[in-house]
Amino acid sequence: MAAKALTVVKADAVPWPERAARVLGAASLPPLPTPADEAFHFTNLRPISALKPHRDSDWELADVAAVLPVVDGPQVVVVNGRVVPQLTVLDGLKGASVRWDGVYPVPEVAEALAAYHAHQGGQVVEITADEGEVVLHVIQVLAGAQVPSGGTLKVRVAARAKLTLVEHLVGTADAAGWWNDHVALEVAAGGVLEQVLVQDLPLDAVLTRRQGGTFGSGAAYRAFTLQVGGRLARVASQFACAEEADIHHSGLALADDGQTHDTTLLLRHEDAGTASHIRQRNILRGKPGGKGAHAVFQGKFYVAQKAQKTDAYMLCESLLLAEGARVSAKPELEIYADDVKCSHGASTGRLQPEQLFYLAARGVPQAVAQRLLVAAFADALLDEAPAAAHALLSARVSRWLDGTPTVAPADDTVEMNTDWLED
Amino acid sequence: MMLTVNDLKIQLEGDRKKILQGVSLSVGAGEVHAIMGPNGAGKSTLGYVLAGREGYEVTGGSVDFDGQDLLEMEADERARAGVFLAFQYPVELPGVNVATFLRTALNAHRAARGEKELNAVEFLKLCRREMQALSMPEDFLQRSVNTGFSGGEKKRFEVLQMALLEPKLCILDETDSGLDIDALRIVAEGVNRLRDAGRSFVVITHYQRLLEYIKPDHVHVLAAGRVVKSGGPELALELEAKGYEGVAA
Repeated sequence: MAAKALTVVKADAVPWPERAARVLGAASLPPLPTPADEAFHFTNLRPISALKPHRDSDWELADVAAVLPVVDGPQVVVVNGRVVPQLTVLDGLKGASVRWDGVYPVPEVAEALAAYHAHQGGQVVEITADEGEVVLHVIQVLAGAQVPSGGTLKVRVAARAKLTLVEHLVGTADAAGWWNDHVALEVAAGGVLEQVLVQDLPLDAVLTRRQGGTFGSGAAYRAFTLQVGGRLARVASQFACAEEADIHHSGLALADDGQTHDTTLLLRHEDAGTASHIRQRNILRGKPGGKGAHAVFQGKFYVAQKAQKTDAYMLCESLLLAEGARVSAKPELEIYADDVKCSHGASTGRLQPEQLFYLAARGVPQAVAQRLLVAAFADALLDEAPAAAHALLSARVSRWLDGTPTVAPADDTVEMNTDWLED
Repeated sequence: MMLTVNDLKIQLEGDRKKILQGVSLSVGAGEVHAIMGPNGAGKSTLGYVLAGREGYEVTGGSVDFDGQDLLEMEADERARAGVFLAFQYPVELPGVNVATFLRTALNAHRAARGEKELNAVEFLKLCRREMQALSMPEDFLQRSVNTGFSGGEKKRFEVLQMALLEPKLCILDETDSGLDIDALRIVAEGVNRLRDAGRSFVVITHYQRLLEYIKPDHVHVLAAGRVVKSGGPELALELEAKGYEGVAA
């Protein structure tokens, strides 16, 4: 064995955590997780180390305004983890409050990415729903050169309240970025939280989000996550449910060539009579000779010994529309109670040739037939989205479907206007 | 001639199993031709090949449809040119609702003819008329295509599509299979309503029963990949009496 004693250490070979620590003013930062860490086995964070750590959050209002989604009603606009009061509209918000009056100490989390989060300078935005039905949009914007950025969203729902939180995650055209944030959910006994996330970051951005949630007795949680943007986007959630809490978590990932969408979920059933339904659908597109699209789904049910009568199922279904597209699905069960119903399933497939032939035999051009079948696959999941967000989710999915066609239509394909498919 | 099949030879892609071994058939405008024959004779393959399904290799012969080389066209082009295959086993399209499906198909045909696409109101008006003729309830439009349909509903839906798309050549593949007498009558009446001087039918069937409702002008017996006998409507009765072996011998 030859010794590697003569390896030359270049000046720019300073490890990424060390460079980030200098820029963020931290004494030290841990190494980024690698595929050697079990939780990141399928998701390689290498794209982060290609970014330049940068502290200053400089951004132009015009750039941010250009990417803000237009939504009705109360809305909080957060840029790089800090609330922008002049863009935030809280008129008409009844039964709930929003505050962001300081940088709160982030609770200690074992995961390495949380250590970076603690030094990003992001605010804690606290949303509290006290009573009645409340709809609130939170628009999170990744802007400029700051790396990493992102704050903390702390959401509390009281016993008699129902909060519909619609979160939009977007980025400016010049965003370098790595969005690394934290969401803490707390729903009191009997409270209802609907959480919608539309992840629509620029295609070269990276997202690492950690979500934690506790759901009290009889609380209901309805989550819908739509992942469209990002080169690498991971939403990792860990939820704990008390007696008779009811959890519905639906996720739709639409990935194109070179994108990785990761949904990682740990559901802890701590008490008796809880129900959870997890459904994930991934649609993976690409182009010939491309890098392929990648979807990761890791779902785990932990059922404590006293969590009898738990009713839990998870299903991950993926549609591969191009060569090179791949899915890594890892469902897990860890059950200590003996009277429970827990199941999981995963399926991965392509569009069925028989279905395409049936449509062709009715004169439907191939590109239109594909769109129809793919839209049907997405729509079945969209039906589970909270009503308040159904139209905006559906519109975003349609825009994605109208993007790059999976197979370039032949020259002689009949041009068809498919707008009316939406009505 | 509406359709001229000349010495058509077909084998499966892959295992190269020979299915059609020189089939010839001439169907004039307005004519109804019945193709009868035992299981495995190649009847359904003939229907699929004419409609343009993948998985078959043409090793010889030609097919002329209304002056065009049919074998050179993609399946969707053939359909827009006026070929319609009513499937023996219509395919389920979960999540694609009947109204969207029908309008997409209809508008693809209209676009190919250079006609304006139908809006929702125009489409519904047209659709309701045809559905009433086939005794189909209106809520049918909101169901997923062929998903959870009974055998009768599937076949009625095939005929509904045929009525809306107004093809020149209709190929009915075992349209009588899976139907009780009442459903068979409704489906046959639906087909008969579409008969006119400009539209031809190729009716693929095992049994003479369907031909009591849809009267053919010509009957052909297909056995082991060849047309072994052709004749008038009386041939179907002869088959019923003597069986395929008796007639083909």
